[in-house]
Amino acid sequence: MSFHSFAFILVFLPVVVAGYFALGRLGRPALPKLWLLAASLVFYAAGSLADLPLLLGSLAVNGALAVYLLRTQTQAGAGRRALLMAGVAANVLFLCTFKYAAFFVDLFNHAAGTALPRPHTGFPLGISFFTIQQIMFLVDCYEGLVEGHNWLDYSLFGGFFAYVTMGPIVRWKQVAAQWNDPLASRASADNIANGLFVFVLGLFKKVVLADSFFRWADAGFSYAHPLSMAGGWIAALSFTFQLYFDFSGYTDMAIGAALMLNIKLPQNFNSPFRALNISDFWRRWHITLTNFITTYLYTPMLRSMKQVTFVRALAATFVSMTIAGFWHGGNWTFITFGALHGVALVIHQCWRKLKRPLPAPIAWLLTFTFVVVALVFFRSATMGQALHIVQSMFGLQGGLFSYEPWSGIDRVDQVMGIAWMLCGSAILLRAPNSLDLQRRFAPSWAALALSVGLAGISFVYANSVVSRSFVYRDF
Amino acid sequence: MTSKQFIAAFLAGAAGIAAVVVPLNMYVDVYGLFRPAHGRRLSLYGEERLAKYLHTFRYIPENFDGVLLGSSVSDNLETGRLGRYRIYNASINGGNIEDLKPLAENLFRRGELQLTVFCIHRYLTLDHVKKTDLMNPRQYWGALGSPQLIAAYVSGLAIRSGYLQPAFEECGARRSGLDGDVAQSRKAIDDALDGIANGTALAGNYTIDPVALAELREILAAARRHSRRMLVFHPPLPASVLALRTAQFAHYRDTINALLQPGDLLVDFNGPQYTEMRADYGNFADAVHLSHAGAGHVMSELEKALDAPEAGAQTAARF
Repeated sequence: MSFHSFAFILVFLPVVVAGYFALGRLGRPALPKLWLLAASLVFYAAGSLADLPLLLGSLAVNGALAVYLLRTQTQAGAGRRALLMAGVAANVLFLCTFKYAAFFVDLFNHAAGTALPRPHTGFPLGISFFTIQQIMFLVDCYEGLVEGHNWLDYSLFGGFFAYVTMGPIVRWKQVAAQWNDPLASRASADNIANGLFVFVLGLFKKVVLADSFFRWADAGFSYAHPLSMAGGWIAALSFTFQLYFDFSGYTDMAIGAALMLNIKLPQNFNSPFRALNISDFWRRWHITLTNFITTYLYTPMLRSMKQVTFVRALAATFVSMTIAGFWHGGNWTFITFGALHGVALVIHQCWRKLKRPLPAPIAWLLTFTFVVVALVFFRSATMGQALHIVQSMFGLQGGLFSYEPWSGIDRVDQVMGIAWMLCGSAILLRAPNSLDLQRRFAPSWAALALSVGLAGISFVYANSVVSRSFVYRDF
Repeated sequence: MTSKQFIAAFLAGAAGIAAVVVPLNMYVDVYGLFRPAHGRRLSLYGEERLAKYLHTFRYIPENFDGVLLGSSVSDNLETGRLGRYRIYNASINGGNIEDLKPLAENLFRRGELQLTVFCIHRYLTLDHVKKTDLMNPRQYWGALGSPQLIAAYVSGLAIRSGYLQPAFEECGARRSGLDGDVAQSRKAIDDALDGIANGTALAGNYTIDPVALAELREILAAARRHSRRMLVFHPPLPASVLALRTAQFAHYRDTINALLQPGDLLVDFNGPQYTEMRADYGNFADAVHLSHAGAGHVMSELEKALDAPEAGAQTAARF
């Protein structure tokens, strides 16, 4: 079950919201939380029943470690720190086993000339997200940032349906207090209206815009012959916009669904394609991942250095971003994507030292072009495919323009697709983003007309097999 | 406006849209799904694969005696009348066996046909790459409202208002695109010959994908179970193209013919009796496709094969 399925929109979400507030009226605070936990497990199981034991196992082990870390909060000792390190290592190993085993076996086979069989462990739903959330939780427990932990709150924190599969990546302190607010399980018409509005925005971004861009991106990336220069750019730009609308649309739906339950989740996107430099881009793109990288990778790396110098800070930036790239999957394309961003951030930090800012249009163009090129590696199945597309973009393959890759798309579909893509591009570059719209939201006839209109179009688009699963569902 | 009013109005508005859109689409029913389709003359709008797939639910079973399955090579055969049969041309432009499978399976599930015709061209079995997700039972409900339905409406309106020419007959046959004159056909074929000679043209590729071949075998078997008669034909190749690939074609033909059984009708347009047809450039649009004249000749030969006194006893062995 995913957020843009009719099962979620017409059955799951209304039942969960209604049940949550109905149980909230009984005056027993644990009941609505139990209801949410049960609903979250049903949601996860509907996505992948076979992976449910892994999620529960992760919650159980990390919960037990957290209990110990919290009990020993007042004691300073090497044992406590060793337990934290063991917990973090166990989570990393857990992630590696299921996500990177095949990659490491390939590496080993290549280096040692062996032919060990690739493990087929599958790819547990949401493993990347819930595992790093558990790592953050353990570190927060160790550092005394977690108070009043109990198993129900902790399980809900670890498995809440709004973010368990694809984020936003949430810290304990961002949500725990909200569940324990006495007003949390009392229906708020303001929050439900606002949540509904944001959810519909996200649904429209996903099923109409992202899926329209998908067809063009997919046709370009799967084209077997050399692409023309224009073809390379069309494919790369289509994927860039597809990914943004897909992931930010998903995030809007997560935020909207949670808001209907009086839970405020952190924002993940803030008009990233208006960034004027690459640091600014990462402050606007997948914000919760950026926060994780900064707080749990980059800062500890700096802290571990005896003396922090500019060069060492640059090295830490590069390593952090490469790890962040690798987090997306065991493939050289993801590592390259992360490393490219690491290099770009290093260059930007060096440039800043020169104190010679570029004119805004040039800064924007450079940043945007770099992001689009780096995302080619993110999208490609192999390094060969990525290099093939990048070469096309810079005129090193094919001619200037060829229509061939898109000739399989029906002509009327092409016209509709282009119309949505123009609309999407205008939204990206000029229109207020979901965050702005959510802040400005007030019930009005205009907001109602927009919401009903977008919902109507979205339902039509969702009612088709062409509607795709979320890109980040595979991470 | 209060938040409560907003929520109530939103829910009422969304429900209202559904209450208007769904019955409206059921009333228009462009694919002939939601009411008896017998006697209706449906044009084919929008995505060809989807429209032909959805026609297999009711429109074809209620209006036609049988079906023609093939790739673009046969999609301009005007099969509305094939001898005493009304045949729906379900050939798909760029279609391989993977495209024909869901269409054929869905049709065969709906009852017995009088006749199933297969146009077996090497393209059908070149690979088993699935080219669309649209031929899927879920798209039945997509006919209540989906982007593909909007595309069908837009193309329907464009055709009715004269901005676009209709691309298909009501029997599924493609109308446009393959009316090139003889000089153009000759040039297209000569160009292809160069490509075939140096191995770059698809027209010379007789690779048989084993998965595709197995699927073809299954579909032929299903057709045999669900049709009173089955006719298989190898479409004609331009004489010069066949001359370059005689051995490869013979191997391909023998592989396909080995899938046939006694009782199956077979017409090989690349046999000696059709030498004249193959030598005439006017019968071809290019190295692969038939012109309208060529399509007409093929249709009349198929009619003859169906009407022949010994029809029904012909087997692969005769060829």
